[in-house]
Amino acid sequence: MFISKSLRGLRDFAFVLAATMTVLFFLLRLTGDPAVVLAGEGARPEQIEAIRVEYGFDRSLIVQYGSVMLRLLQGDFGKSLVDGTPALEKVLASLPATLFLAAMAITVNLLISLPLGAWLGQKQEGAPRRIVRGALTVLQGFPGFVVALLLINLFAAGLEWLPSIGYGGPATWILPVVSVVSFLAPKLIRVVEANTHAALAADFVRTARSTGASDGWILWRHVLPNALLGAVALIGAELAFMLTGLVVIETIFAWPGIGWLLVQSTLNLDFNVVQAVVFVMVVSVFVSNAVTEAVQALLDPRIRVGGRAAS
Amino acid sequence: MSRPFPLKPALALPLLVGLACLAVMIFGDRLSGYDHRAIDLSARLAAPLSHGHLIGTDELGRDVLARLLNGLRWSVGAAFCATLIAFCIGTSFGLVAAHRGAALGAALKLLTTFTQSFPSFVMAVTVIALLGDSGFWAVTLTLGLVTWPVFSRVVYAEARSLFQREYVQAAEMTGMSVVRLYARHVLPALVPTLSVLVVFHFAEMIVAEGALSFLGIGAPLGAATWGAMLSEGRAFMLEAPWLTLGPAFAMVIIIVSAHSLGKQLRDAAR
Repeated sequence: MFISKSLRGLRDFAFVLAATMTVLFFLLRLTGDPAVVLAGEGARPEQIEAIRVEYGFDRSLIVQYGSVMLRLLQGDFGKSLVDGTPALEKVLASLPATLFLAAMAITVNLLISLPLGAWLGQKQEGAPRRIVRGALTVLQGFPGFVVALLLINLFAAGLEWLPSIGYGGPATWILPVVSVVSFLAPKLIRVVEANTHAALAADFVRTARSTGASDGWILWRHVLPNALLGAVALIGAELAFMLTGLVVIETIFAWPGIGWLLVQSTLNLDFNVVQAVVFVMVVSVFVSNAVTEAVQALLDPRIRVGGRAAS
Repeated sequence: MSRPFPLKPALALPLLVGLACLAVMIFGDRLSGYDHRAIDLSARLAAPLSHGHLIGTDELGRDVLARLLNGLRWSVGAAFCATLIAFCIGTSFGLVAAHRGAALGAALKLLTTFTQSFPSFVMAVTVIALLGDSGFWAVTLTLGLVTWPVFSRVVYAEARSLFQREYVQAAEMTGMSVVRLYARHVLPALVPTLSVLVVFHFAEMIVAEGALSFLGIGAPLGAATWGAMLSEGRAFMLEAPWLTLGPAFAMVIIIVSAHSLGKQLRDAAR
């Protein structure tokens, strides 16, 4: 059963990847003529035509599509139209920066959200909890890139404590990570809070309590694992999102990740690099989804045997 | 759903903001007393509450409030239309897939995965290149086309059990048209869920549109949209922080109100 499910997943993945690359190919060809960009300003029509022939843009769309797909199947993404470096190399060089930002953001997010969510989930009432909940509601109203701009405004431009852009030492990591965490954390805190609350009311906690287990032990041994379980799906979704969706944050901080590369190559009509970026994005989303499912199965025996997890 | 929606003091914020938005959608920048394009070089980067400008002026002496109001028209209008498009596509797909069985459901899941893994940025740039100058519809269409799975997934999950209900099956057996069946017997049961989803989606679209116009996509160059204002204000962060703070808080107020409305709708539906 497990193997047939994996095979089905792979088949779906192959379909989605092929569909994405196909739609991407035709959309890109409609955006503009890279030969004009390659030729530079003030180029004569003959020069543009020569470039078009050199790169094969003069052939019919279907022929171009066939040759691009054939080369993709062989793992050949072609060269960047802008600087001639292999497209895939360019993408793989910028992947670490994105993965690093994502890993840092998820770690910080967990360090903040797990304790805070568990604390909020224990009781419904009380002034401190209500204040924290109110603050989270307001924080949820701040788009990530607005937080980034406000942080730069305050800490980089105003106080001059931190560098505003770039990808260097730890000082340059703080603002991007805080910006990303600011929109990830409220969601995770809510999920951990709800799960903690539900787990505390569950039968197994009542049973544990009746055996005389202490509150701290119950929270640590019975409640948190269940709260974490519900959080895994969200963290997986957040990881997948960060691998594709940090376009704006990376642009603001001049963070040389794949989101930034996607913006640059799309605006430059660097088709080969765009195709390579999107390919890598789709593959990484698939991998992160598969890892998420595997982790969930590992943590939760109910999913492993094909049953339904308690919500 | 027969219960009337309870009027609570917490509704005041979304209600007020909604009315204010409506007024701005109708009257635009006239409410500020300035034209958002009027350049006044004698009052460049004027601070808030000086020279008769409530939120100050930008580097060309244009009134920031007037520009914010113009940006509201663009952002709220785009977010509204994008939500409508996503709602229509997602709900129709979800309903048909739930009605017609497993094969369509599996196809829908594939289409959803495909849509969600396709980078919206590339989609936006290409759609704008296709539609030419009409940036508004390009942005709206892109956001709708990229985000409809949010609706289809929820509608599919909820409608599947609805189609098993006796009253729906009985209605279907009378031979009424599919459209009528959906509109009369299935959709009304989905209203509580869908209204919450629509409101939260609207807030998401405000963010997404802001991000796109921040990157310079959609709105024509130099247009007064919140994203563009945020982007231009970066150059004057020290001398004129109101250029960034203005659009930032305009966005936050709309989003917080939408979230608050959505939360209360959700509580009422329970």
